[in-house]
Amino acid sequence: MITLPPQTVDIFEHLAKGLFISNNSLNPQQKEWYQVLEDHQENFARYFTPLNLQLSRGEGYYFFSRKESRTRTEERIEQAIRYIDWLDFFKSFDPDFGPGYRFETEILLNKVISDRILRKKLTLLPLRSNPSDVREKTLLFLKLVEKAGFIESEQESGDTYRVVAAYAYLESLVEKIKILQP
Amino acid sequence: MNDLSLSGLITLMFQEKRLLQWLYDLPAGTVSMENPNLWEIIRGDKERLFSLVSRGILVVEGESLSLNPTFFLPFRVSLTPGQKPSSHTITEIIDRLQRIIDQYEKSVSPQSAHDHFLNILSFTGMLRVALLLYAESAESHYHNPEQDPLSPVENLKKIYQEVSETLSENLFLTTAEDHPLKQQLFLLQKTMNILREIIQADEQRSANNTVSEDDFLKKIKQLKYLADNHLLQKNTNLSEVVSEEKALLWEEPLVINPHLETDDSQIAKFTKPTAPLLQGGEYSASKEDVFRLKSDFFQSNTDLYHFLAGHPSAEEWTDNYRTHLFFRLLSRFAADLEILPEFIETSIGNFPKIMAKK
Repeated sequence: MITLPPQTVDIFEHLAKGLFISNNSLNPQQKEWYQVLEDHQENFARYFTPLNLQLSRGEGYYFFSRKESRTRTEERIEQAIRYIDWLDFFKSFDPDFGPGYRFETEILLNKVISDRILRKKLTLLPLRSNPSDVREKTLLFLKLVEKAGFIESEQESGDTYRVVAAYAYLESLVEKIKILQP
Repeated sequence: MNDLSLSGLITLMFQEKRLLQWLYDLPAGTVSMENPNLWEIIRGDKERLFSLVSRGILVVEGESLSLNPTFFLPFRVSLTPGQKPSSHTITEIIDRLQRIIDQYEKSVSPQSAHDHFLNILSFTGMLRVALLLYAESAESHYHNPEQDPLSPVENLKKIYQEVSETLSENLFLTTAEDHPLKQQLFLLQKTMNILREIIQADEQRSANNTVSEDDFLKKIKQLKYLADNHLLQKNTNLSEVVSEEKALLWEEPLVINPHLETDDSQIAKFTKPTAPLLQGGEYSASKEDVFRLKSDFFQSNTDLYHFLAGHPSAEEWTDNYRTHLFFRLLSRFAADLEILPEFIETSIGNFPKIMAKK
């Protein structure tokens, strides 16, 4: 009999959405989940395995993995290109951008407005709706990255964001890609 | 200064920080040996005073006690709360050392030469103290941008260069024969070696970080360029990398009730609101109905969702009842069904595309 903590269902439902649980999350609940995962890692792994899910761990974050892929490689490549676009945008904003980094929305906005290259990068970012207003598009983009679980708003007003540990997953993806010499 | 040991001097200065700070802040510069505050600070321990006097840090004149003025600079740099010596202070010490050497060489009497020589000894010792304190702060990456706009490594380099030049270009110091001075210079050189090691280690660390960050930035730019020119698949192993990624991030959102039995959970790719429908209750279809539907579905050539949506009885079914039927069939006959990695988007949720196995 596997003994699991009461947070199991919430943790499961969060991870099953393809999201991460980061140790530097601003959400106290997520921080608690991270600790619960640390404390019961083995039990969770045993519990989730029959569901064909593996509890995986990165540097400061947890996520679910599945042995067999159910998405086509083409779809994944498109997704990876989106992530490269995100990383390129953020690194162009500040080369120090990475887990633990904090930034104010206004500072990012000002840079986007004043920096032609960054503005162009933002314009080319594929979003579901494509507002022409730079501010609107920037905010929409930040919400998208927040929803994906890589940044978190420090205040409800969305004035300041923090990059959470899960962002390292995107960086590790880039590190795995090898550029082949022509 | 009887004891020229650098570590001993620094330890003592830190131990007696409160007393030295108090003396340093005294407007008159001197204090009566009978002053009650003095004895309160040293808790009546005469030995503590003696230790400072014997090292030349404190000066006793008659009934008065004062700080040795030659120590004002290191006191200022080391005893001000939260403040470490700045590169500017060290430059100041070097300048004053140079001026004292000039004065020594121009001395007109043996007594004044002797006094200047003692000052040279004090200032070389002071320089060592300040250098060590600075090195310590630089090593721990202490950095006060208002005082030192340069990075710790840059400042250390600058200081190291200045002191090296002072030591190597000053004939008085390079040809010193006097034993205490030679000993002081030897210790100063050892401190310089510590500085050099810190500079090298910091430079190495800095170089490693820069290379790594630069490489990462460069790689993102290259990948972005390849992506923009549709060369990403051709010129990288991206396909291989993404195929091997196992994170659920790459999959359609999956919502499974962990309390369901394993077999059910494998197929229950439905959204949370539909989950109770699987349990039956008011929507429970009879076993006969379910088997009849299964038989009809297997004769059809369409997916389960569209089969139910187009069923002759569909008009009589509510959305919830149809959803219930969908998952009843799915859970009951999973072994005979093929679950495709596609979803049918509907107003009440996403349904997996289910086909009968041929």
